[in-house]
Amino acid sequence: MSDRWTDALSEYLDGDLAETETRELELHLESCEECRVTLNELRAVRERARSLVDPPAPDDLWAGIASRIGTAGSTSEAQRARVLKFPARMPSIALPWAVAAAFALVMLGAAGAFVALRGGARVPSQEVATRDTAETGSDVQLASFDAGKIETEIAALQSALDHGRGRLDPKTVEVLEKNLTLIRQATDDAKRALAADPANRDLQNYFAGTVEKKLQLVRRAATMAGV
Amino acid sequence: MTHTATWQLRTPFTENRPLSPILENSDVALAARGDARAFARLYEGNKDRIFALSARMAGYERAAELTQDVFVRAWEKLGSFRGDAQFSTWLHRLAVNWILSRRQTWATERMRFLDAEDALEGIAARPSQRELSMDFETAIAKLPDGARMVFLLHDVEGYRHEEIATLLGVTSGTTKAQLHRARMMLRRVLSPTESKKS
Repeated sequence: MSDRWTDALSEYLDGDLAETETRELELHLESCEECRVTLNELRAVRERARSLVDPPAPDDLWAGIASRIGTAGSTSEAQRARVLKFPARMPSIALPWAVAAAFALVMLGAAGAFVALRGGARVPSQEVATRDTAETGSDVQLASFDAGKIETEIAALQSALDHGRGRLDPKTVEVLEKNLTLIRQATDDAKRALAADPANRDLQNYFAGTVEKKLQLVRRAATMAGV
Repeated sequence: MTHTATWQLRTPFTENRPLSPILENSDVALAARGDARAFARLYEGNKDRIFALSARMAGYERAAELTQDVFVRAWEKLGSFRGDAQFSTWLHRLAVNWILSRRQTWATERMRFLDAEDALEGIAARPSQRELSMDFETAIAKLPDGARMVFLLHDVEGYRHEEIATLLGVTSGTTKAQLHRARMMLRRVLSPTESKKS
């Protein structure tokens, strides 16, 4: 169904149609059942959209935010307990992924140590952790995006993964390599985006934040692994 | 520009925000001085709303990361929050701007939405009311990119055409056409039998 009135139905529904057109359309509606049906359907769509229920955010988002803004705090005691008792509270169905994640953390830790031993540059996490937002206000810069450093870490991680390939579960290796590929792709995307728009501070901040998040993970993993 | 949605305080949003405006403003002031616990309370009150916005605008696979980005940016920019609007409104606008700016780097992935008009044909009618909402969300996700953004901002989030046009860098005539296109496609999900006639 498509007549000259159809395209005006949404505007009519929203009250955006001019007065003259509104009158003409209402006259048309009196004699056109198809348009009346369509109008009711569009109204139902609009009402459905207004009544959508927001899906709940995952429980584990705050930890990533806290690490990026320089605080280890959680949003509640319950969440803190969940973080501290992570292995004991993991549902059994998620155990293989927990094992894979643990391996990933260890490998990241090893990579972090590898980079550190080679004298690789570090993002000054303490600067982020102790930043006084009252002083810096909206002009906060997390750090400069350094693709070279990320690539160095990826290479270190790949090297560590290659060395451990024989003793690791193949599924763990698969998960790690898949994630390495994703990080490589993300780094390439970031480089392209920044090359196209080098003065974009939002992008700089975004990618720098990602670097910091990753390095936080490496440091935490290194601690867990006793490196 | 002020967000003037008439159903801005729709039920889910209100239920997800446990803080009164007074307490919220107090936490904003504390957070702006570096109080992470206050900021955590602001996060708790707004996380579902921002996550849902991110999921609908950019897909569930990106929603968690986008939500984190939005709150990190909010932390960084709290100093620029003047209190002209509620914190939740300011945060929402910040989120929309951030998600739209990130879209520029997702151009290749957006290609999958170009032939989405056909994709909507695959969404079957379901008699279960419980599943209807999920089908509707799925159908929204499969809308062509431009139509989806306009539909979400107008019909779900309550922005006006003029605001959307500014955000997207198009005319309000375009946003009206995109909104109508989106609604015409989505009506098939709610009234599939009737719509097959057209």
